[in-house]
Amino acid sequence: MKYFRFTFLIIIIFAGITIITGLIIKRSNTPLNSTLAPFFQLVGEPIKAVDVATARVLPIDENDEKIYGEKLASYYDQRANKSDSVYLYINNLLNVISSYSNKPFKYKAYIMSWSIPNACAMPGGIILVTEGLLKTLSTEGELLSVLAHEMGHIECGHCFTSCKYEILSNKIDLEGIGEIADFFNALFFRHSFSKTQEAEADAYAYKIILKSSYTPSSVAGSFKELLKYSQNRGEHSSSEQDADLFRDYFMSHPPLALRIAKYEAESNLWWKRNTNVLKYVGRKNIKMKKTLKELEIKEEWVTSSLY
Amino acid sequence: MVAFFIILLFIVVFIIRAQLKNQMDVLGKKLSNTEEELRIASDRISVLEDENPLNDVKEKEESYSGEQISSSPTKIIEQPSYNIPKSPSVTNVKEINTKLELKTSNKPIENIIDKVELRPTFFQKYEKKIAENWTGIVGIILMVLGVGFLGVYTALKVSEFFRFVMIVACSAGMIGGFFFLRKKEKWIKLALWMRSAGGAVFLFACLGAGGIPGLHWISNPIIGLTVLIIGVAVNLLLAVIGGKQIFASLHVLLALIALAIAPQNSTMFLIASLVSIFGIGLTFREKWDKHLLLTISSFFVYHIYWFIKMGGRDAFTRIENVTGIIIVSIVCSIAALVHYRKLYSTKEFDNIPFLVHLINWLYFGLGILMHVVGSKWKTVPLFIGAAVAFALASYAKKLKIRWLHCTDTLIAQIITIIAFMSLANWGIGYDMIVMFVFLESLIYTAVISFVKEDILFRAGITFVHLFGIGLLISFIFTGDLFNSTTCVRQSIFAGICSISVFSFCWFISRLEKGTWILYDTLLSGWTMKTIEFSITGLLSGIFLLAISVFSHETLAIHYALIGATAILIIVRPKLNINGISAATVLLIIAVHLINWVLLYYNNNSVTKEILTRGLPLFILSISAIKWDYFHLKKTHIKWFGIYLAIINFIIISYLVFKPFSPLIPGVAWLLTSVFLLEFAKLLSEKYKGATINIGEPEKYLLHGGYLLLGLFIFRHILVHLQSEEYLGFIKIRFTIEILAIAIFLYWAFTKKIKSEVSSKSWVYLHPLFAELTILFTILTISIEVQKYWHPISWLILAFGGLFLARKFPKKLSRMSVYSILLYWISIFQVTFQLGGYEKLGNYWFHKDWAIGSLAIILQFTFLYIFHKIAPLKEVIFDIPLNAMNRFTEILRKYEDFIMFYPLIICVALFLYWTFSESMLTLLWVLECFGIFVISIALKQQHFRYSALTGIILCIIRLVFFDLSRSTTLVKALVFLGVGILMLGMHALYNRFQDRLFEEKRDEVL
Repeated sequence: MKYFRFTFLIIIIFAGITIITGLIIKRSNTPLNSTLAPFFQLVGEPIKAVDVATARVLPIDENDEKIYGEKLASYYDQRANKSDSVYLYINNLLNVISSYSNKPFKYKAYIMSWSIPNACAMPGGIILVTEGLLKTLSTEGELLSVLAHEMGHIECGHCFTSCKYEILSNKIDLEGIGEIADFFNALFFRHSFSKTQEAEADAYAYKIILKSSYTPSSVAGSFKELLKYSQNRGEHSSSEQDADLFRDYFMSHPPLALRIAKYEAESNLWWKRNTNVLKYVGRKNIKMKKTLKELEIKEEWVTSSLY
Repeated sequence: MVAFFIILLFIVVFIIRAQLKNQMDVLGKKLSNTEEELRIASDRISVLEDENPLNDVKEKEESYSGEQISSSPTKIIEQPSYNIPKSPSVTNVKEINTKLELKTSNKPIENIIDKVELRPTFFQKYEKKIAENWTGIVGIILMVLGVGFLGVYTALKVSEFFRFVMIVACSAGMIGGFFFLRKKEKWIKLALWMRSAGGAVFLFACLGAGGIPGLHWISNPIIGLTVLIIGVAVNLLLAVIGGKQIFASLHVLLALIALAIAPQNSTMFLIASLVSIFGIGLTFREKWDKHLLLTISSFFVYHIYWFIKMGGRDAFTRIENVTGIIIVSIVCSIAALVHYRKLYSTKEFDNIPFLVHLINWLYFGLGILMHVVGSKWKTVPLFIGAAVAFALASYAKKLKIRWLHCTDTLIAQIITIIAFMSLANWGIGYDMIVMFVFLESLIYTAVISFVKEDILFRAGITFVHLFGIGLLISFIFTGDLFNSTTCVRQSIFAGICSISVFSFCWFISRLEKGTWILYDTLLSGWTMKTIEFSITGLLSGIFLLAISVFSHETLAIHYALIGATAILIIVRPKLNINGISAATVLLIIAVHLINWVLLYYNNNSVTKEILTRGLPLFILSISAIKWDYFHLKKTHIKWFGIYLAIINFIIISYLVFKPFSPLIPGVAWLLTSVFLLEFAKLLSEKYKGATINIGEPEKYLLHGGYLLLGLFIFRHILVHLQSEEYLGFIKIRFTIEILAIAIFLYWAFTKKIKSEVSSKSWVYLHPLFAELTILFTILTISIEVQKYWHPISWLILAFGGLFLARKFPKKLSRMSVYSILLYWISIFQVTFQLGGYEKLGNYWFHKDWAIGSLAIILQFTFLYIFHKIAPLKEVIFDIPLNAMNRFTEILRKYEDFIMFYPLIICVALFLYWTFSESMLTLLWVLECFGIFVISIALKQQHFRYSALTGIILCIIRLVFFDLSRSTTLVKALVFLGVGILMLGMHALYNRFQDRLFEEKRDEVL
């Protein structure tokens, strides 16, 4: 036992010194000086699990969500200009990734005339994208990763769990009560696992991108564009470099710097493992509002993360 | 000057207080003596009464008449009439002698009581004084006024000259009365007062002749002045021949009043000074302190009056001001000299002369202040004055006038301080002046310590404390950290002061075995309760600290300071001055803090600079560990040095490694914690069985280890968790987490340190390393492992827990409880979460049904092993977690229910949510079959009931659901499957029937 202990000690010390040496050589840095966001993201897991379990035990399922989504879609259909090139472009792009869906929904995307770059998902396969987002993102891959992120919210059941009581009350003809219940559920619990859900949606988007023809760097690229936008508006300050208990807890999304670092590291690793594989960027496609299927540009195919 | 008077006032108050206290003590002693005398006398009376044969007879009569038998009289006589202390001190011996004298003299008690009663009351005392003196004074004033009114009354009837003659005649009449009455013994007092009244009336006439309207008949001012001088001279003559303080005071006062009424000029002030000197001169005959006080006070008032009448300081020429200073100096010096006579020689503290002397110095100071013209040269006379005062003090000592010696020494010190302060006119900075005063106070106090006069020493120490603090305050107000010249200058000052204070401390600590150092405490021992704490010792460290503040950026000074502090640490235990110990501690902390802050906020700090600045700090902490004995606590204090060294290591390692990678400091701390643990073990072995306390270093090293691990966890949460970079193909964060788990395990499996002192942390903290390892492993799995694999990961961890509980039943039996928790989590995730995850895995086994099925197989395996080894029987939670024993008890009681039913229900739900509806009946029947097998294996009836209930429900579903909805093929498969399973159940039932009812038999038996 004594010798085992001594050997173990030597191994520990050797391993520790190796790690330190490796870190010195690599000069590995962190996106932020300090942050509590990843920790809160982790703490949110069990609360999210309870929320999911609650949704599962309720007598509602994907079919009820589908009905709910169809109602929403009819509302947006009335207001959408379906002949608009942007509308068509977005929906064509959505069709590329909706084939990976495991839900019985018809995915639809609608354009909102807001200048702020944003997108959101609704139950039953509804995705809203602002005009600002289309202006902010610079490649088709980035736009696709945002759409995939929103699709991830639907596929992972985030939208379903967020309005589970409303779907249930609609089902049993007690409209209104469910909305109140969902509101209080969101008020008291959602902030605790909101970041967890966003991270899940990011992971989903990355998987979709890997399955698609687009470069895996698109996910980090879309976050970079959003960060650039908020920096230009002066919304990011140096104080965000350090941890803040309340800010880090109540922020709905993980900090952009962390999301960029994560998917940059993942895509770099992917590129390391998949040398000479061609992936599409789609810089001109987004400008011309033509999907890869409609317009393939040779120069847009790349073999590295540098595009 | 204001400071001068304030200080003077303080000293007066303190000395009066001390004297009053002494008097109170004396009175208290007298009172207690009197009480004792009374007690002894009453004892004596009682003894005499006891000895009285008549009493014996009476007593005997009483004893014969009563039933009780009284004690023998001899016994009573044998009893002492007072209690003699067992070990009498000198005072007690005196008291005893007094008591014995009292006892032998047979002094009647009435005499003592009479004596007490005959003492004059407060009212009687002052009534006598008023009757004897003030009636005469007031009488004379009234008479003079009466004569004045007479003069006015006759204003329109006779000329001024005749009025003068008339008043002089009145005066002559009074003096004639004196000559008439002085021979008669009964009227002698009245005669004396009449003579004085005559002198006063004559002075009034002389004054009136020169200037009072209605009496003014001399137009020539010189003649008028001459007449006034004659009047004054007559009065002074009467003061001389009066033979008593009262007459002397009266005539001097009258002379000065007359001079004040006359038109004011320099000549008049000169005459008044001469009158005062004459008046003061009279006190040289006898101990006339009251007269002296009245004379100097009159002169002081006259001086102010004259000063105002003349138009104030601005109205005087430079020469006139200098003349004024000289005159005031002469008058006050002569007044001061009065006390330097053998007549005043006493060991006691004489209050009245002391007050008069002090008031004289006060008048002296104020008088000079009125004529000060702002010349920088005043420094010279002030220093000379201080020297003279000091010489006078020495002279007073020679004359054995204790109070005078003390007063003059203090005055000399105060004048010296003022002289130093006047250096401001020479363009010297305030910080330097305060430093001079501080150093002078140190020298003064050191010199005074030879005189062995505690009042002076305490006063000196007070000066040292006040000016030491003053110097620090001046550093704050005049210091400028951005001005290098000021910083260097004040560093030099602080250095000089530090060395001086340290030398002073060392000097007085060696004087008379450190008796004097006791006064070097808060409020210099003026208060009744003193705290044994050397303020100057503390100052020595604070001055070094000031150097550190002013010159923190200069590396050479940084090293010098570290050297000085190290010397202080080494000599501190030998000096045995608690103030120095406190100063050393303060200095060590401050030097560390200053350098840490400097390094932390200097963003341009490179590794070399951090190391050159940070590493030498270890000299201090290591020295503090080595020279760790504290006399005050009478113990070795190792924690201070150990904690400091560890904190310094934490900060230095953070600053050195962070520029390379923010992930390194945490890893370095993690590794260092192992070294500390091993070092603690090594020391524990070394000092095993030690009988003396050597500061428990192993305990604090362990604390350091805990701190490092705590910091690692903190940093892991704040910094490491966000890292997503790879080292090769492995995530850096993951490597750190694996290392951390290994180190936590190493700590957890470390055998108890043998030393007794570390038992507390070992009992309360160390057992939790097992929990920490589990928690950290859970955290690592949550972050690093894909969510699909979580249920399986928890189960593997649960298996690990079971293994540990089995392998180390004494130490880690509780792991089996954590295994149950992990098993539940796994079940929960398989049931509720696995189906909810997005299904984008690249491989077939990424599908929820595949992972879920694998997890369920593992869960059943776990259940089987758990049931087989039954680990809950041995579970005991030790002290830090003993609240968990109650929870374990519940688990033990309902083991089958809590282990089996969650899995059974969750498997049913998993099947429902995961598989096709058409196959559900078959799958559920399969599950029921499983439950039935369990009932046979465990001999538990409730499982059999559950299985049969499930089967019934499945048959109902088969009939009402599957028959109507499923396709023919599915129907065939399901019916076949269900049928085979039911047959299997039937076969098992018949085969193990005995076993199934064994439980019931067991219960009956």
